[in-house]
Amino acid sequence: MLFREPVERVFAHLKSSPQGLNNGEIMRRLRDFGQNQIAQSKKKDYRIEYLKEYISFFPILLEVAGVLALVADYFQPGEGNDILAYAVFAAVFINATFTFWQKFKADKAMEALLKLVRSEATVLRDGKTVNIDATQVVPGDILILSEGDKVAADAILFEANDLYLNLSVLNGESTPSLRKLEAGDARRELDAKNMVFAGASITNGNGLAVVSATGEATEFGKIARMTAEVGKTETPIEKEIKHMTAILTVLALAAGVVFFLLGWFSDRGLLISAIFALSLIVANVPEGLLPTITLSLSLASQRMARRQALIKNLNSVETLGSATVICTDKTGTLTQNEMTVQMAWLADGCHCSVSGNGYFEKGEWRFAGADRQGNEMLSALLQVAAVNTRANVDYAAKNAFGDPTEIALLVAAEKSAASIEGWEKVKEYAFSSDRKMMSTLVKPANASDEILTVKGALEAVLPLCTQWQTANGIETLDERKITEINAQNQKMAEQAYRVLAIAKKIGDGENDLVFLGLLGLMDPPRSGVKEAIEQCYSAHIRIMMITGDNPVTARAIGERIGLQIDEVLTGHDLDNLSDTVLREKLSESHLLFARMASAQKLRIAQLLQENGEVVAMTGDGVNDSPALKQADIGIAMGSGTDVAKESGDMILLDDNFRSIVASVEEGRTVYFNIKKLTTYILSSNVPEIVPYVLSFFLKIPMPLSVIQILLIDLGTDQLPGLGLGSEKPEKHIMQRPPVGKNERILDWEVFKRGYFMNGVFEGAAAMFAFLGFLFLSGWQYGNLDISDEYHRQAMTMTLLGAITCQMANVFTLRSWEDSIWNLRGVNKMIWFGVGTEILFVLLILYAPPVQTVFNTATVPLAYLLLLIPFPVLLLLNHEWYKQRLRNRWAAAT
Amino acid sequence: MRVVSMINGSLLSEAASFYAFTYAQAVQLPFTALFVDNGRESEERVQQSVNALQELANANEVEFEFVRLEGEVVPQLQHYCQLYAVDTLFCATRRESRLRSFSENIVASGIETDIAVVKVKNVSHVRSAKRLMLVSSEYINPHVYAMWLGLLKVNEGSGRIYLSAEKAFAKASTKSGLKYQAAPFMQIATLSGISADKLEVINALKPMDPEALLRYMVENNIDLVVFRSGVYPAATLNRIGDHSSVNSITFYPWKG
Repeated sequence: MLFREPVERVFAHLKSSPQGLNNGEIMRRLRDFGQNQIAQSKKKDYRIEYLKEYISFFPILLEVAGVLALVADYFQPGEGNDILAYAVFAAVFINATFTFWQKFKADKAMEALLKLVRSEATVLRDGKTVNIDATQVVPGDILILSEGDKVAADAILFEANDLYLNLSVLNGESTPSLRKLEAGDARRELDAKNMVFAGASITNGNGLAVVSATGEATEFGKIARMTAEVGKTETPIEKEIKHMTAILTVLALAAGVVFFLLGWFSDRGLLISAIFALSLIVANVPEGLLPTITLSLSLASQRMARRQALIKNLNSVETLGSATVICTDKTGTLTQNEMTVQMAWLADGCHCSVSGNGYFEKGEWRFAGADRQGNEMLSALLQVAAVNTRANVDYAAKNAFGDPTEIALLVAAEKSAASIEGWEKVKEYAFSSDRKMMSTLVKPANASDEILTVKGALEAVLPLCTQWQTANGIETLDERKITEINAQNQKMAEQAYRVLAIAKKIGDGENDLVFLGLLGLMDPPRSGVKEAIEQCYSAHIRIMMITGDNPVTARAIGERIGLQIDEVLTGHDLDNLSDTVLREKLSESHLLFARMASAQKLRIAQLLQENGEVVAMTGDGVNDSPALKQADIGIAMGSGTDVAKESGDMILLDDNFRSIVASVEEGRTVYFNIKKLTTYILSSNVPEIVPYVLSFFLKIPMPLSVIQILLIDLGTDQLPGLGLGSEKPEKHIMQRPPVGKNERILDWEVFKRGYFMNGVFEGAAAMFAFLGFLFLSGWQYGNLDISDEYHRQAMTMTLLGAITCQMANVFTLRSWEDSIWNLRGVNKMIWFGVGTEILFVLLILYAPPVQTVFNTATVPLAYLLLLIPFPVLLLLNHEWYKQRLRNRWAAAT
Repeated sequence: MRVVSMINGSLLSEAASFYAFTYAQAVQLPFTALFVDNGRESEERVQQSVNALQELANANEVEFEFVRLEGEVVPQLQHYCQLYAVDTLFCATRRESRLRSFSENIVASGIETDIAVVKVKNVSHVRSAKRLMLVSSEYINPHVYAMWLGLLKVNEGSGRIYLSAEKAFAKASTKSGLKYQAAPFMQIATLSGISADKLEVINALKPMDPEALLRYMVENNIDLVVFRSGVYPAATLNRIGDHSSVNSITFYPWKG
């Protein structure tokens, strides 16, 4: 084992030296051993991703239509089928390129953002200290380890000064482990005391180590390999898009086949019937839908990044809106992860409290009852507590290093007048989980006697005490006092405080101690968490806290932040419950899980999903990765491990629960925005289909050409549709239940509003404009032999009928439920879209080159008055419909 | 006969040479460190590697020689192997497999000897291979077995033979049929002084799925895995090697 070898041989085996490697060797080792990274998902081949855009339902349908049009042109040239084919191919190309470009841009934006959360390492290279990206560390590199650092790779120590390592990411043990220069009796790396490991963090001290393994070869990498197999489930939006495209494709095909058969049986000829069917298919396929949805998701992910939630996969945005259960960590997410002393109980029975949460918030000590300002007993207690630590706080730079409990003691002393400046440490009796206490022999400034300062769990410290401190001196500890102290300890523990007993003694030796008092510490809740939890409950989302902390503390914190708790289950309880029983408990109860191992999260996520829940799960350690992958949406903490970030769908940059709730609101908004834009796009299908159907059954000229259909779908509808996709959250979005797993975007409501309500008005508008123009210009019913210019003017009217109705449609669809008169803010994107539509209208009316391309012509102004009634009617009707819905819901609730 | 290992002064080639050295020690053959100087490597670092290997050979009483050739690597190697009897040629390969890599070029060049391509992922495990695994298909190649057994014996480790024997499963009506396949190899191991409790044979119907194999190696703390080249398709073998946290040797028997 390399870690058992003398340090000179370690350097020889690794071909390195205490001065580090030179640049040439580093480049070579990077090539030979690769970058220091693990669990990298396979890089996308963007050529294949682009080609995929041509092989989903809609494009295939259009491609087949294009090929058939070319076949028709071969058998019947000069009928314009070749132009139809090229127009359809152009539509497919534009659609695919646009959709791909949006996804590509979103990927690149995510990559750029992910780089922000990468970790760094300090190394010695060629005798110089340099900060590098942790991925660039190679075997043989010299790591410079300092308090607060995250270790970049597995390494063997050759210098260690009071170095403590937090190995919780690897073994779940949160008590810092002392590192030495000897391996001890370890038989494997993970037990070697002279090694540090990738992913672990330095809680105290400093050191130098030579890297022995990087990437997958590290202990961290091995665990990551074991978690790599949990498959990722399909997101609701992915299922939804598949479902939507399948339905619309079937509809388009069915319409095409029906009209092909009708045409054939009514003796219109095979070719004409086929062309007619193709046109109908093109009219039925909402070409602009997919790129608009992609853009809408992309905009939402950018908005979420501004709210500290980094979405890695666009499709996950909408999943958040469906979340029915949020399984959240406690420390750092619901709480500040800044342990704070909140109260003290002095040996004479006096209670003190201190204000200011966290490490850097100012605060001061207050005494309960009598005024004991400047009490010396409190100062002595805090001095003893603060000097007996290894932590370090730099108030100017707002940096704190060391064990959180010890930092809290330093901060508590800082809030009082208890100074330990000039106190010298002489000797230390280290903390261990067996002893449950720690002592330091110190020499106070300007004092001749050495003092032993002691802190620890009461059950460990109190038996060593024989006296207690009073305001006037020292008294012997009797049974009555011991009972009083134990009762106080119990009371504080029940209030969720972590309790530390503080004692001292003149001279060395952990016996005959003088009991000074108790300190109550707590990791305070984050600000705004209580409100966020209330918001979740009103949004019908259950919250389950999953923590490694003990049940009493977990429950007390939960109650403090307003969590509903029906039952507290520990990791041990969970092991004794069968899947059936646990599934039943998970189905309705508000559970709190305490003393949980990371691995148990996976079971909870799986059983919740079996109950039909959509699960959002937070996590930060490498052991959390399977659960993050299993959950419908895995939320990795920004401060967590790279493996967790790689496994999660979303990275919470500020680790704050409030940001999760903000993301849920954004997710719900996206869901309804997609509903709105789908309705908007389906509405314009009706004025595209109706003219074809009527021209089939009635003796009228063709009211609309295929190129004009594509102009609507891929031109005028796009920007306003995008505007709908970027609409802000509606007023009551967080008061409604989560979007159900079986609730579809393309449901009856969307069909009803799109096809049968707004669409009907649009179809009527288009035909009213077309026929109105023809009749007002003196056309006789049945006359199909009209001049080209005249026909183009009529078709322009049909086109304008559809476009003007869509302008009204986009405004009324800004809200799914609320009246447009009550909406907050202006949607600039919609106004920009409508402005562009008006520009299009002017171009097709007055610009000859555009007229040539889109088969349109100038129409006298007077005829344009025919376009006014229907957009107004559409808007009023939809608003009236929403009013009726609101009335119905009000009556129901 | 001799065991030859290619060196170029890099940590990777030196680490890979250690496996070659261990094999030479086990089968009591001379060990040759071969350096083909194409003008791109540092003389100093090559000399450091030679010194380290020389020291190792002296300490273990293994006959050692250093051979230095000049010119293009593959033609020089072919020439060398024609002139001298080479038992196995060891060469190191990088972490990320690439098409037409140095090791692939050597394997594809048709050099008339067996080739062992070493992929070192964890340098600190090179000198302490306590758990060795041999992954083989229907029949175990005697030479790859000898190499694996040699490494096992010198390291005083424990070994697992993962034997995927689809045809034998189809034919065998009793467990004895399956045992028969591995039995001679177990007996050879016993004859070479390795106790039976240090060896385990895992009979499987099909080669383990690559992802499962990667997990298996981590779960069982394997230090070194030896593959016979045909056991998986080349691309799969590359994938296993690239994603594994375990050092591996892929053995390419000469198809003479």
